[in-house]
Amino acid sequence: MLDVSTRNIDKKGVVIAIAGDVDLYSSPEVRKVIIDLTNKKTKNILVDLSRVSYMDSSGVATLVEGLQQVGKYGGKLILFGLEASVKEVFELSRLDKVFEIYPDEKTALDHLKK
Amino acid sequence: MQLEQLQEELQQLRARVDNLSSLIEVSIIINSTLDLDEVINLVMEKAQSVMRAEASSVMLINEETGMLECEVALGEVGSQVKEKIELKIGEGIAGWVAKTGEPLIVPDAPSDPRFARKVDEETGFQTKSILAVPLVVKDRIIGVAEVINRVDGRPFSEDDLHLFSTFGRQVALAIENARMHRYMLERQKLEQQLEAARIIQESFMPQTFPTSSKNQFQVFAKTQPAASIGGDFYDFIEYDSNKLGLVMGDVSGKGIPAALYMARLVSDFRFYTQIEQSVSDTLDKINRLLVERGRRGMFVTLQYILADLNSGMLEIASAGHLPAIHIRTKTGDCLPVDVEGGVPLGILPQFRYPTRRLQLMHGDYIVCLTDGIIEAKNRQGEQFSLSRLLNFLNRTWASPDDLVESLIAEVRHFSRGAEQHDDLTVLAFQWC
Repeated sequence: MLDVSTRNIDKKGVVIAIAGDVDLYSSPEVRKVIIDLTNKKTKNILVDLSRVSYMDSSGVATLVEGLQQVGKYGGKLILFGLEASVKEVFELSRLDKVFEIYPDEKTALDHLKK
Repeated sequence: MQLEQLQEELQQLRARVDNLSSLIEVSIIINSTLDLDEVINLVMEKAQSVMRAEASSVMLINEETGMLECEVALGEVGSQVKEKIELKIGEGIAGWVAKTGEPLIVPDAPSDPRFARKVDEETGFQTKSILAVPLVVKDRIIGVAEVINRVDGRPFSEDDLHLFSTFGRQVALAIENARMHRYMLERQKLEQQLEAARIIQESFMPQTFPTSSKNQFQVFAKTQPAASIGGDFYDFIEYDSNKLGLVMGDVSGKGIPAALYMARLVSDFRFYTQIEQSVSDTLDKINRLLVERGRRGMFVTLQYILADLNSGMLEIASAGHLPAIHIRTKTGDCLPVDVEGGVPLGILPQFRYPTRRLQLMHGDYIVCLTDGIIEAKNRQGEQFSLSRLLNFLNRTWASPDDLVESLIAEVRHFSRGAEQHDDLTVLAFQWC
C-alpha cells in the first residue's frame, strides 16, 4: 500500500512524503498529488523518498512529468532521502543528472535558501 | 368465534406464503441478471410492493468519498432523490443505520432527531414512517435499504422488519455478485489489452536477423515479455554491407502506452537513421522529437551501437541505458563498456549525446540487455545483479543464439517461483 501525504514548509514550498513502492499501479496516486501542486504553480516541491524502497520506471516517469511541469513556470522539484536501491535506479539511468537530489530534508531546504 | 379465529389464522398463513413466494421471486431475479442497476431496481420494486410502501431506496457507500450515494430510488419523487441525495455516514436515518449496522423502524420520522429533512425539503415529499436495514457483505456494511410510508398509513411492524431484513440480505448478495462480475469483466478486458500490447510490441520487433554473406558477424536477440508487458525493444539498422546498427531500448511504464510509444519510436528511429548516419546526431534528433511529443513524463533508455563490419570498430552511445558487456574471447575477460552516457531520451531537449569507440577483436562478443535481466528477483528477493551476469557471461559461447538463450534460461531459473515484473531482453553480436 502506498501512502502519499503533503506538508507545507512555507508559503512557497510543499513536501510530498511518499511511503511504499512506487510502481505502475501506485504511481497514479503520486501523479495526482504532484499535478495538483503544479496546477497551483507551487514554487518548490520537495519529494521525500526516504520511505520508498522500490520505484519502477512508471514511478520515475511520474517524477519526470512533475519536473517538466514545474519547469514551465520556473518552479523546482527536488528529491531527497533516496534509499540505496532507489538511488541506484537513478544513477544507472543517469537520471541523477536530471534531478536535483539531496541526502535529507535539511540539506534540500538549505539549498533552496541559497 | 372459532370460525373467525380460523379465518384470521388462514389470512396470516396466506400472508406468510405470499412473503415466501416474493422471496423466491427475488432470488430468481438475482440469478437472472448480473447488471447491478437492473437487479437492485427489480428487487426493490418487489420489496416495495410486498411491504406495501409508497417509496423505497438503496443507498451505497462510495468507498472513495465515504459518502452514502443513492443507487436506486423508487416512488413518485424517486428520480429527484436519486440525482440529488448524498448523505454522510451518521447523517439522517440511512446514515445512522450505515454507521451502527442496526436495522431501524422510525414510526414518526419528522419527530425523530436523526431524520435528515433535506430530502423532503428538496423533493417536496412527505416522509412519515421509515423502515431501514443495513446491507452487509462479509461483515462489512456496504449500504442501506429503506422502505418509506406504508400505504395504509400505519407504522412498520416488527414482522415487516423481519421480512425486509431478508430482502436486505438478498440485495447485498446481488450487489456483491454483480460487483464480482464487473471485476471479472474488467480483469478480462485488461488481459485483452495486454494481449494487444504484446502483439504491437512483437510486430515492431525485427522478424529476421541480419546475416553476413562474408561471414563478418553473427547476431541474435530475444525478448521474453512479462505478464504486464514492458516497453523493451531491439532493432537492427542495415546501412550497407559495411555497417550495422544495433539498437536496444526500454520505454518507461508498461502495457499499451509503453507498447505504442515503443512502436512509434522504432519507426522514427528507422526513419532518422536513413537521413542521419552519425550516432550522436541521430540520438540528438530523436531526443528532441520525443521531448516535443512528451506525454506524462514518458521517456526511454536506449543504447545505439554502430558497427564497422570491416574493421570491428564500434561507435557506442547510451541514453541512460545499462552498459553493454564486452566479452573478450582471447583474453577470457568480460567487462561492462564504460560510456560517458547521457540521460534517457525524451527529458532534456538540449542534451548532446557523447559517443565512444571500442575496437573488437575477432571472436569478441558485445551484449546489450535491459534492466529486467539484472533486476530479476528470486523468491528471497535477491536481484540477479550485474556481478552475477558478468560471472555467467564469462565463458566460451558457441554462438550469439547460444549466449542469448542460455542467459534468458539462467535468469528464469534464478527467479523461478517469483513473479517476473519486467521484460527480459538480450541482444548479442559477435564479430567473427
